[in-house]
Formats: sequence, structure tokens, C-alpha cells
Amino acid sequence: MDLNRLKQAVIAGDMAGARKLTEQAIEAGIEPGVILDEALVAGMDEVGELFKANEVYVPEVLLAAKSMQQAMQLLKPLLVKDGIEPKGKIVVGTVRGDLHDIGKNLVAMMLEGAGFEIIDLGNDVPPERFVKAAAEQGATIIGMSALLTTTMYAMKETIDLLKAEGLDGKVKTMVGGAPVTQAFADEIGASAYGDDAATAVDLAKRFMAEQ
Amino acid sequence: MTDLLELIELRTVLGDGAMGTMLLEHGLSPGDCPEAWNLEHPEIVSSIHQGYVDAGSDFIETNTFGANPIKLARFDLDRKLEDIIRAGVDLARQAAGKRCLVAASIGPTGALLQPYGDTPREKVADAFRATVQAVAQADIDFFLVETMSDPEEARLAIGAIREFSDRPIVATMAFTKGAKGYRTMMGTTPEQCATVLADAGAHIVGVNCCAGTGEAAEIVAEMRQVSSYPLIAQPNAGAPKLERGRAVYPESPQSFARGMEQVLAEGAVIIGGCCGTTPEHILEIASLMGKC
Ligand code: B1M
Ligand SMILES: [Zn+2]
Repeated sequence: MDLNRLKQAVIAGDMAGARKLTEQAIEAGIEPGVILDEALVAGMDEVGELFKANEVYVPEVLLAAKSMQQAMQLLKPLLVKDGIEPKGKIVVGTVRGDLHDIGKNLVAMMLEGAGFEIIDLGNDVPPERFVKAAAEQGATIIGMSALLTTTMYAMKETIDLLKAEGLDGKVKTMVGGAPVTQAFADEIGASAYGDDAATAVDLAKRFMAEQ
Repeated sequence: MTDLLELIELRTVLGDGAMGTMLLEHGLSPGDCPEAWNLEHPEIVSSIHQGYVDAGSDFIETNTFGANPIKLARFDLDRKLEDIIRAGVDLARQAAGKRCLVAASIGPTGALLQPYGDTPREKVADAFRATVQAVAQADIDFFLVETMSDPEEARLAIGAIREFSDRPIVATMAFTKGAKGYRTMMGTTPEQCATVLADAGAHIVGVNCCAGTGEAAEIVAEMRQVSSYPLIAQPNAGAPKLERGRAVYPESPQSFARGMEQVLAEGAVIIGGCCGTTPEHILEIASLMGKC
């Protein structure tokens, strides 16, 4: 079973193909974690690069993400059964006033694939909801996405609110999105900045290791 | 006042500037529904319209950009669709008086169409039908379908207008400059869009909400290559930069007006502004055009 074919199906946004090839890979006895990393995540990484280079546009990215989702439906139960138990709880969302959720969804999907439990608050999420959800659900990481220069500062409000509630030591914050930079993350006091979805996964793993 | 299509035969037509970013200046919170202010703060919407009328706009746009059932449902305001649209048209008409035309602003639903998105085509078409039916009952001079990112969604909006009204249709799309030149988020070029919009039934086509006058001039030039239709450009006052937590648009009224001379030179017949532009920007263009 050649995982490259599955990877290519993801890149091509071939939903039915991605599903079928995932079934075959599972039947061939390939470990779910390997299917995830070497075919699905690798495929999405390549689509991300193609998007950055303007070789493909939003429709292609979305179709690729949907193909990965199809495959994930089959893999998720197996990943859990494999004893890859939830690595931690993460609240994710796009900040207040911002409706861009494609990047946030990718990040959420990759985190889920890496074994985290995701509480997705959707888009246009006010600071209070981030903090409330983290407190109520016992999440240790809040991940915020912003795509607009005009909405980036809502991230700072969440971080300030966490401090005001005395949660800043307990809950880490991770920020990302096209206009967000490391310098901005430092300025607003975020725990970390994620340049892309893969980085977001690395950061989340690091946070959990630190705890 | 003459019809828009007659007016463009006579001279360059000057539109208005931003509504959304002006409302933010007046206290609208980034997550709030701008169109709800037609009912909640009509005096502020009126004063912004008045600023543009006084600055010399030949037409002003109703504060109805997001007044469609899909977007309003996000704020639980879809039941108020007709009230919001009626109030929006009334406010613009009162400010316009006999001095300028009123354009009904129609923006995207914010939903992504299937298969790449999750929203069925028919749901988006129905949303535009509901908006257009409400607008068509009110007193407007023409439709301005604007800030579209997906040519397919623009086609659905134009199609809905043609079902219920025979007023002129102006349609503009937003482009980003990348390694391959200007593209919508769907990857379509200005040339392709100009053709799609015209084929769908728009009378005037063009660009809005791009990052500044320089980009608008280049996009108009590209559309001119393939289209014999009258062209419109309403760029932002540059790309916003964050200063102390606020988005600041870099192009001053003076530099914006000078930049618009290049847009006209490339062949636009209607010009105006989008995000970050103010009555001062429009006034500055009006004086360069010798309107005052
Ligand atoms: C938690 O930790 C982390 C870690 C990493 C994280 C992270 C969080 N979040 C993201 N990452 C990172 O990982 C992801 C994967 O690698 C990456 O995520 P990204 O989100 O960066 O990347 C995605 C995979 C793909 N990228 C995207 O999905 C964004 C693509 C572009 C084309 C885009 C889209 C699709 C849309 N848009 Co909008 N849109 C544009 C974008 C221009 C462009 N070409 O980039 C941009 C962002 N939009 C813009 C604008 C202005 C707008 N948009 C608007 C609307 C829309 C659509 C609804 C049409 C649609 C969104 C659909 C949706 N459901 O998301 C409007 C605003 C609506 C609102 N209130 O939010 C509107 C205001 C347009 C208008 N005038 O109406 C511009 C922002 C300018 C600015 N800097 O302020 C823009 C750059 C286009 C432009 N050049 O003008 C990384 O950043
Ligand atoms: Zn704009």
C-alpha cells in the first residue's frame, strides 16, 4: 500500500479517493499514526506551501481539508483505540469580529489528529467566551486565530482577561493567523506564536511537556 | 437627477467613501452588526451620508452591505431584514435629496459555496432574492454589488437583481496581489472577473476594497484589456497598519486623490473609496475634478 497515493488524493481534494485509500491503508495494517503523519499531514503541508506560493487558492485548500476530514473520520476511532489518549484539552476559536475560520479549522484538525481534545468555539468569539470555556472545561491551552489587522487586538483582551481572572499561569495562549507575527505575540504577552498548523501542534506538545 | 448610465456618458462620476470604517470611528464595535445601526443609531448613519453628499458625491451607498438573511442570522437579526433595508434606503434618500443618486449596497453573504464550502448554491441565491425584493420595493437608483470574492457568488447576486428589478447593476470584486499578480481568493483574475460580471448582467464592472489607489489603477488596466464595459474603482485608503491597537489607513486625502488620477487615466469612469476613506478623501477628489 503506497501512502503517497493517499497523500496525492488529499492534495488533489479528492474526498472519495482519500476515504477509499484510507480504508485500504487501514486494511493493509499500516499504523493509524503513520497514515496520519505521512499521508494526511504531509499532504496538507504541501497544500499549505502551494497556497503560500499562489499555486493554488482557497477552493483547493478547502477541498484538501475536506478530504483530510473524510480520512480522519476513519482514523480517529483507531487513534483513540491505539492508546493515543487525549494529550490535553485545547480551546480554539477565531477572535471577535473575525469570520475567517479556514486556518483555524486546519489548526484544530491537526491538533485533533495529534491527539488533543479540541473545544472549537467557532468564529467571532469574544474574549469572555474563550476564558469561560477554558475555565469550565478545564482546558490548559487557548488557541486564537485572527486574519484581520482590525481584529488582532482582541487577542490581547483575552490574554488580559486571563490575567485578571488569575488564570494566566494555568492556561497558556497560542496565537496565529496571517497578520500575526512573533513580535505581535510578544507585545500582547501571548505564550507562543504559531506560524502554521504544524507549528501549532509542536507548540501544544511543548506546553503539555512543560506542565 | 439623471440615471447613472446617462451620467457616465457625460462625465466622470464620483461615488462616496467608506461606511463601515466610519461607523467604527463612531463607536461601532468590531463584532457588531453595522446595518443594525440603521435602526439603532440612524442619526450617525445619516451624518456619514451627509458628509459624502456635502463633499460632492454623485451617488451615496445605502448602509445595507451585510443586509442579507445569512449574515443577519449571525446576529439573530434575520427577521429584521426588511426593516433594516427600508431604514437604510430612507436614510440615504433623505441625505441625497435631489443632489445625488442612491445606490443599494449588496455585499457577500460570508458563506462559502459548495463543493469547497458547505453552503448550497440555492441558499445563497435565496438570500440575495430576499434582499433584492426588499430593496426593489424602496426608492433606489441602482444596485452596487460589491466586495465580492467569489465570482460565482457575485453571479448569484446579479441574477437575483435581474429577477426583480430592471435598475442598472454595478458589480465590483476584491483582489489581492500575490506572486502571480492580482487574484480573488478563488484564484480568478481581474480579466476573468470583468467577463463573468458582465456576462451575468452587470452594466458596469470593476474593483473595490483593494489595498490602495496604486493597486486599483493596475487592476483597472487589466480589466480594460478584455472589457469594453464602463469600469469602476473604489479602493481602500491603502493597506491598514496597526497603531496602538487601532487600524490606520495610510493614504491621506491628498495622496488618495492624486492616486485616483492614475485610476482615471487607466480608464475608470466611476471612482470612489472603500475602507479607510472619509468625506475628506471624497472632497479632495471633487476639488481635483474641479467640482468645487
Ligand atoms: C492558535 O494558534 C494558531 C496557530 C497558527 C495559526 C492559527 C492559530 N491560525 C492560523 N494559523 C496558521 O495556520 C494556518 C495553516 O497553516 C494558517 O492560517 P491562515 O488563515 O493564515 O491560512 C488559511 C489556511 C488560508 N487563508 C485563508 O483562509 C484566508 C484567505 C483569504 C482569501 C480570505 C478569505 C478566504 C475570506 N475573507 Co478575507 N480573506 C483574506 C485572505 C487573503 C489571502 N489570500 O490570504 C483576507 C485575510 N481578508 C481580508 C479582508 C479585508 C476581509 N475578508 C473578509 C471576508 C472573507 C470571506 C468570508 C470571503 C473569506 C473567509 C471564509 C472563511 N470561512 O474563513 C471580510 C471580513 C469578514 C470578517 N468580519 O471577518 C473582509 C474585511 C473583506 C470585506 N471588505 O468584506 C484581508 C485582510 C486585510 C487585513 N490584514 O486586515 C485579506 C488579507 C484579503 C486582502 N488582502 O484584502 C496560518 O496563519
Ligand atoms: Zn473595503
